Amino acid sequence: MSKIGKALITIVLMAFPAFAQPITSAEQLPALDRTKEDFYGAIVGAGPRVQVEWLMSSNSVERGGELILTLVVTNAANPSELQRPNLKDRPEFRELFDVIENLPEQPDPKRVEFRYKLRPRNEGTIVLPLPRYRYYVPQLPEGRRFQLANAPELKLTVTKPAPTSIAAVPISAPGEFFRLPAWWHESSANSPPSSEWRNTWWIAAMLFPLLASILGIASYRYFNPDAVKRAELLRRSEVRKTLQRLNDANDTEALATAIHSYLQDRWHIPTLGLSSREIADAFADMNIEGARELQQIFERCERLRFGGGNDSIPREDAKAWVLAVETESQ
Amino acid sequence: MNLQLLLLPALFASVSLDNSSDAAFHRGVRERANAAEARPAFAEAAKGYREYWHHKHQRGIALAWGRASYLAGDLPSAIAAFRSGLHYYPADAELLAGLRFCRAEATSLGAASVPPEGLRQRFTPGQRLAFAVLAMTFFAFGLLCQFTVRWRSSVAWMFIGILGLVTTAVLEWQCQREIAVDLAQPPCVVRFDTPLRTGNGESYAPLLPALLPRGTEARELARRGGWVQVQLESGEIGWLPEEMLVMQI
Repeated sequence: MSKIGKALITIVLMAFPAFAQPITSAEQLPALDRTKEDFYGAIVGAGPRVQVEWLMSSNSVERGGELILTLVVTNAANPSELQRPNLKDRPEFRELFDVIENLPEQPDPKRVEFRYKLRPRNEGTIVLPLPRYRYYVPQLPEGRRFQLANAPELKLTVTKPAPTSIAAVPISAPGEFFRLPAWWHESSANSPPSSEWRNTWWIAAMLFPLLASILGIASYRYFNPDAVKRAELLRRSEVRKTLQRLNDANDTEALATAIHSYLQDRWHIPTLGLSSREIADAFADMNIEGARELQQIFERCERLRFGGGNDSIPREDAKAWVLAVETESQ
Repeated sequence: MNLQLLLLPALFASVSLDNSSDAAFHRGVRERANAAEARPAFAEAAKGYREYWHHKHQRGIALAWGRASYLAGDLPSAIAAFRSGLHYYPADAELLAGLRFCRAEATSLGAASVPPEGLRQRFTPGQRLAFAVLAMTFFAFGLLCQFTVRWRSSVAWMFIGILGLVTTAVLEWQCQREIAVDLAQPPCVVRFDTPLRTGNGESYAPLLPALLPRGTEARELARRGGWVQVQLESGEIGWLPEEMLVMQI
């Protein structure tokens, strides 16, 4: 080859560098070109141009149903390098579909398929947005090498979901829940009832026993004028005990013992070893009337004890004597 | 006469409200075999009864409101309705039975915070008063004996009577305290499963590892910016959004 021929080839190679080294990989492109918008790495080789198309699993889908959309890229010289367009980043898709997931690619050396599972958002007919997909044609002059792929328009019909026949489910609840109370007859409460204490009848019920008791005491006093004194007497434990013992005495000895105990506990008269007369004298020395009656009671007891006879135990006389002595000593 | 004429429209309004709620309730009962049809009717009735409860605190309205809410599938509102009724009619057997049933349902759904029944629910005012009257009778009888025949046991009767009266007073004091707590810290029910947060905002961390289950009962402590500070029965204090709570009225 002549020098002129070599020089011409050099000029052509400088003007069209693609002819110098065939580009078959996106890696060979300058960094600025690799990041161009809508370019996913498809390079056109020696064969025909890159073809891009949508494939739908069905032309019609129910609202709420799912659809598989496939982006098919054929004739790329570098099928293994092609990147998956992310539909989630595409506003025109986000308006129309929920992108549920990206399905795995199906390996094929000639055509690359990117599959997406989508769910239409609204009912009606949807014109599928054309895929904005650029590919690189190294054979073309600078500035025209990025070509936008053409794809046929697709329409999708989203229908109303068929009414599902759900079996009627009865409401489960206790029987009384299905009954209405006759509430319109009731009176209403304006404030939470703190209690029923404010109810007059309840207050009356509370006070009735107390009033009845006071009334009982008053009437007892009215019908027993000396009840005050009697109560005073009964208050003394010695007198109470003596009256009880006299009540319980079955023979003269028990009766005499009860009187002896009374004299010792109440009047501090030592009766041990004394005769009935001596006891009566000691009692008389205390300037309390009743010594004579006491002696008579003792004598009756002795008569009954040693002489026998039909006379009864002088129990009532003894009780009367005790009460008389106590009354006298007030 | 004039006053009666003025009140007439109000009377008609209340009657129409009653009728529409009752009609919705009866419609729900008729459709009870199909929950999908019946629940909206019960929900309508529950709404009407709830509004009416604001005007009149009648026992039957609370009962109807609670039952309609439950049948409408709104368990938290049913609990709030029965509790509202029990606040005014504390020992009503039907309200109490309704609340117990709903609480059992809530517990089966996972609600952990169910407060124990108070003394007001356990002892009716009638029972408390009957006890007080009995104690007073004992005391009066002892008093009568003491000042008349002076029986030995009269002091014992009086003592038993006083003991009974003191017990009644303590019981009554506790009941009053329960009312005061209800007024100061109104009870509320969690409407949906929701996290109990440490502060009044979504940015605050959840206080509990799990969501607070629907139907959980709590007490309101404070309010701030659309959030309510609540205390659970177990003692935890946290914040919940207002819309997640049904309040006792």
